[in-house]
Amino acid sequence: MKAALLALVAGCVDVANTGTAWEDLSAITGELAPEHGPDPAPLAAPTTLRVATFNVHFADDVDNLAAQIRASTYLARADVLFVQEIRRYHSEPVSRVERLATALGMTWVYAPAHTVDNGGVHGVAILSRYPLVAAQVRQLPYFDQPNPEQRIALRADVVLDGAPLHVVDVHLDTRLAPSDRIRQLDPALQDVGDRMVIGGDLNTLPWTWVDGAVPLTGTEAVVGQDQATIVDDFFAGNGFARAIASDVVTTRAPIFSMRLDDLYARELAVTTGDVEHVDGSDHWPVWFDLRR
Amino acid sequence: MRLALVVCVLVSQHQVAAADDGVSRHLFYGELLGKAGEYGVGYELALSPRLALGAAGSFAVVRDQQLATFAPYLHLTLLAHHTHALFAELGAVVTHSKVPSPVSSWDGMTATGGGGFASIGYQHATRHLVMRATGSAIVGEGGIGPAVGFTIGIRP
Repeated sequence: MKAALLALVAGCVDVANTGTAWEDLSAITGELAPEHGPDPAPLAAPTTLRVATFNVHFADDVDNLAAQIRASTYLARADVLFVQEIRRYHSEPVSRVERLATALGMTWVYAPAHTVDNGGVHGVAILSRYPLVAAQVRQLPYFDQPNPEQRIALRADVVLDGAPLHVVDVHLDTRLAPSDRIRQLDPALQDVGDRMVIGGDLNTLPWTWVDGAVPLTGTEAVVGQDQATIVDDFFAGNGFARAIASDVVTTRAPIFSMRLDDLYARELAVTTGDVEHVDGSDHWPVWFDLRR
Repeated sequence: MRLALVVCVLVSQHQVAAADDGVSRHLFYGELLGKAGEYGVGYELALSPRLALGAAGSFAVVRDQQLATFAPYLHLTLLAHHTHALFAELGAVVTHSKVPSPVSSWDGMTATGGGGFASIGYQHATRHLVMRATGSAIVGEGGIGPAVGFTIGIRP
């Protein structure tokens, strides 16, 4: 009884573990074994690099997803593409990441975060027109809350005329309070390098969540301090420039306007960036151009 | 001027009525997920059987985030029958938020905002006990947000 009362007062969300250090992909075996595609055909390094991020909502229809990306003026030219929520099933002869990357003429690294029903895995990927090396994955802090998921960050170095660019793809929890979102995000920036790009689905739902279940929508309405603004401030404090403002909508959710996805760069000039409205997911992709 | 005079007369008449029915004009309450955020405490003074002035406040810590809220308001009983009543509230809200940094590479963030709210709700009350369920639209610097609150209070 006493323990139950204490739990009620303290809340039901807690950091169940603080995650892991960066691990080489080769160290992970079994169902969650990552993939690393072959190097792409050699290309001259561009002066302006375009990076995009897209939560593809499982990529059930890879052919349509690839067609949507190729048909987009902005996405078709992406040199590096971060992908979240992409699955691999034993029942499918080729992984969805490999099919998507092949259709776009890119190489890839894929890291599953956890298993799903029907013999599948669910994870994040980095696709690139340039070789990817030094790929590593780390488990991010795990929060024990209703419907928890293990979240990961995937990093790699994009090889551009001998000067590697560090890139990190992340997919964070949905119903985290702001301080917990920063706790989960911060390790993805650590031990990577100064000149880096990070982005993905940060799941910055605007509100503070009570026990990972009840959003304080009224409080956010009064203060105007949504989680996208807080995450932007965190990145700015770490020397990053962002792709899009906190009020740009990146999800098709009805009623509420939310920026869940974004990209950030450090020691690289962001020349332009925007959200692109294409079909194929419940999110819209975000892209930005970086002057090298 | 004429309107103010009419309101004063009505309020003073109702004050007499309120005193006559023996129900205290003072209401002390606690609320959950209402105008004062995650939870709050409040006080309400009945000016008449249908009109009251109140204020609710709270200081809550939600996963490190510190939220201090103050919400003064006007409470109007729209319909009443025995222990049941339908009411509306109109008020202002001020909230201060502080998100302390959980990491060394960031300083955290603070913000203060103000706004207003309009609510409609159901009340079940006895002489000493008041229970309310409220639906609100809260408008402020972050736009508009819905809130559903629950209140339990006592009239001493």
